[in-house]
Amino acid sequence: MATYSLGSFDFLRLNSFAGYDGAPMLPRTHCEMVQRLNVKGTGFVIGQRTGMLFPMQSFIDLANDAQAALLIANYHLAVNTDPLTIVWRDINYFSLYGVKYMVVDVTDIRSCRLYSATGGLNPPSLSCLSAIWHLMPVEVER
Amino acid sequence: MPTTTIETEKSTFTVQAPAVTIYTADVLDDDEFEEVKYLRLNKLRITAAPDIDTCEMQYEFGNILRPGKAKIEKFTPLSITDKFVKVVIAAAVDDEDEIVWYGKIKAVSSRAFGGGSDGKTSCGIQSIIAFGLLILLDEVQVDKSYVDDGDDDTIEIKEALPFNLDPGGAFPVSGNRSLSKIDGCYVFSKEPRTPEKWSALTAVEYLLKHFSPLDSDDAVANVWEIYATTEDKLSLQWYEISLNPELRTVKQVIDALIDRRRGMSYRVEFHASDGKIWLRPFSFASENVTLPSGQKLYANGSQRRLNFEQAVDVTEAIISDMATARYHRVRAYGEFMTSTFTVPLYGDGTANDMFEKDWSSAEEAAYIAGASADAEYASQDDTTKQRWNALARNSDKFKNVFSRWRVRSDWSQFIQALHDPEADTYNVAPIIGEPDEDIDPSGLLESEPLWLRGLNILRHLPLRDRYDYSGTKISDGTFAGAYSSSEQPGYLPLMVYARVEGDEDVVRDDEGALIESPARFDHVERLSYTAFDSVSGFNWSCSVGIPDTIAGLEINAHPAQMIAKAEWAGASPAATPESQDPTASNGIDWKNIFVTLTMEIPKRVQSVAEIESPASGAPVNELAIHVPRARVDYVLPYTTVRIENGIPIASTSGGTIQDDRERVADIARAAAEWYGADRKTLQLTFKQVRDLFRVGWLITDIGATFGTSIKTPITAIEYTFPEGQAAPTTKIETAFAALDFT
Repeated sequence: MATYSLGSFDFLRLNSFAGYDGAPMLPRTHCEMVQRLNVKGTGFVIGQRTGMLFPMQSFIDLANDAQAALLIANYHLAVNTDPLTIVWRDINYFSLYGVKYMVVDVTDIRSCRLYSATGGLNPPSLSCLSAIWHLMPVEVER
Repeated sequence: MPTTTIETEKSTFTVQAPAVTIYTADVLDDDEFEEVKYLRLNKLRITAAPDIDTCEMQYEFGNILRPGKAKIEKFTPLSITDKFVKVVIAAAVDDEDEIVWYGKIKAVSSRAFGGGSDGKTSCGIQSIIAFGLLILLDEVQVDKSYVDDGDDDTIEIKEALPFNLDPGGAFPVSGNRSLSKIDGCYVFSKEPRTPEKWSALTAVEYLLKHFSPLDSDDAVANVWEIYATTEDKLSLQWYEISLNPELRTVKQVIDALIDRRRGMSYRVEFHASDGKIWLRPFSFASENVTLPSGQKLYANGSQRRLNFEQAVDVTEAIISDMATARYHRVRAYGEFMTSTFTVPLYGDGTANDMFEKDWSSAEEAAYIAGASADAEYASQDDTTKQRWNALARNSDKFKNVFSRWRVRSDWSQFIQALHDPEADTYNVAPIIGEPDEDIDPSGLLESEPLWLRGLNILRHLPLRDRYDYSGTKISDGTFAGAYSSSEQPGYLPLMVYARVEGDEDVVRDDEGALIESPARFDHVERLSYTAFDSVSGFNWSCSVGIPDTIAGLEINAHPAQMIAKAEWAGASPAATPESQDPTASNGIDWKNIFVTLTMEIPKRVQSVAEIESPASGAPVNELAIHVPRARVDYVLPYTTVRIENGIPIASTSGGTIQDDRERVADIARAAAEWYGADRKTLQLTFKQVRDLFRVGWLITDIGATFGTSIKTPITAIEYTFPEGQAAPTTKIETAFAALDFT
């Protein structure tokens, strides 16, 4: 099974709504287009590489409701702390791209009970937790 | 003047937004600067004087994840107030230089956002303002002067002496600069008044040499000097300066000396290789302008043509044509013209008599009677009667008797020339026309209208002490005396003189040359020192003056009756001691008094130069320029200019002592030429930060498509780095100079 994690948080699934195939977004070089009335052509002023805020949805199974409640609290503690490393489909984005992700906010945290599940990371997987992470990619020195 | 064309990007282009690095140091030494990370530049505005460059920066403090860092770190506010700052904007394009600016941080304000969840970590944003190096000169006050000690050195006096100003005398005499340089620059002369005048160039050199900011050891922190081309230095010498630097800062004085109204301004640059700060003047003229003095305002040596017709990165281009700077004609005017002439205090009873008594017959009779009308007067002894009469005559109600004369309200404005064999009549206010027109005072021509009741008689004549104005020297122009470079003669006061011996007049030949003078004359203020053949000295004194409330003359003898010998002899004066009796103690008759005086003609010396005609029926827009100290001082023929050995010496030809009509006309013409040229201002903004411009460069035009000339220099360049990811911009502004040619 592929590995998905955000810092110390492991997930069964972690997908963005943008980016190719749900992958986390990377910083990109900013560019401003310049045009002028009555003059042909377009200019481009190339700026620095910067990230854009983007959301990712996570899903994880948990042993029980109590563990879910504990994890919810930890999710909130991760907001506005040091940037975290994402591993997505076994790709460590810090090792490969030199990018970590600042957790700007975490919303839409939903937990539910499971009566039957297999293949989870936290057997007997009687609970599950999903959340929307609002992340900002930042380049850091390796 | 050859020009270079500046172009920004045409059609499609790609350029890198530049990186900015900011450094600070305690001293202005390029080797001492250290980088301050995360200090962000918002705006940098580089300007010409009198404005000062400004630089706005920003710094966030608190718990911050800085770009490129893996962990949130705690950053405390910067403590950099009063440090020097160096801003380096990297070159955006190959082959261009980076933009480097130096300044001093003068204001740091913090927006605090609280102490954090632990109460220990403050966070907020610091707004940091730095000013250009010119601010250093605005912190030094001119509160002393360096004076030539005559031994190739200077003495320091704790007073800021004025440049080219002498408050003493009726007409200010200018010039107080040393004859030669001492330690590289001129200083104030040892004598307070000399012919050597300061120019803007020499005055600025003096200020930069002696008033540079000092460090804590009283050593010069950084050397300031003028760095200019020969033409720019000459352009700082075409105009006269006269100002008092007392209680002003060095920057304020330099701004007054290098004034845009003189077609010049300057910018300040730091020369990092030797640590010097340069003051670099530049001209507002696009072509050489020949000035009234014969000198030139040289054209700007850095002229550029701007071509942005196809530039895609221009976001704004505003060309302004100011109607407030457009004139149809120029009128230059100086001081009121003056006329100097000699008149008798008592004429021939015609309309040509200038003066009349300013007391009545009743006042005169009462004065002569003294206190004799008092009921107890008759019973007093002679000594008491004399004392009572003297007290009565000293009363304020008699202060005009035998003392004040006023200009007649029906005076014809003509005088009979004294001591003139032809006895010609002269017009005291002849028409003074164009520079090439002679002034004709003959009584046959019309005159300038005078307001007799408001006539302004001056306290001094335009004649200098120890100059020889006799004969034809005024018309020949050979009246100036020789004097040492260390002094200048003052102006003669109002001249009042009397015939003290004999009754005849002086005798002259047909050409006006003196043949003989049977009578003797002397100044009424000096009679106590006079001894002639039949007069063995005077034991009374006399003073002269101009009343403050009427157009007239005051002659205050002590006592007043000493100049009323004829009236005293013809009346029966009440008891008077012999020393106060004019018939017994060498009194004189005021009818034998003559006055050489100077009056203002209520018309200024002026000239008008036309530029263009307005539309039919539209009002004329006229520029008026005041030319200080531009004068026409006219002396009528046969004006007495001095008394020598008891003989009145006259200028037989008369003429102008000072005639600035041509200078005023030149100023009007030069101003018409300047204001007649087509000039506009330009504001141009484009989306890059490029090292394409310098403050002081003159933009000639902006391309063939617009078909308009600019001809104004860049006075400000502003680099803006917006928040977020918007591209930075460059904005240039040019400005127009309203030239003052005086």
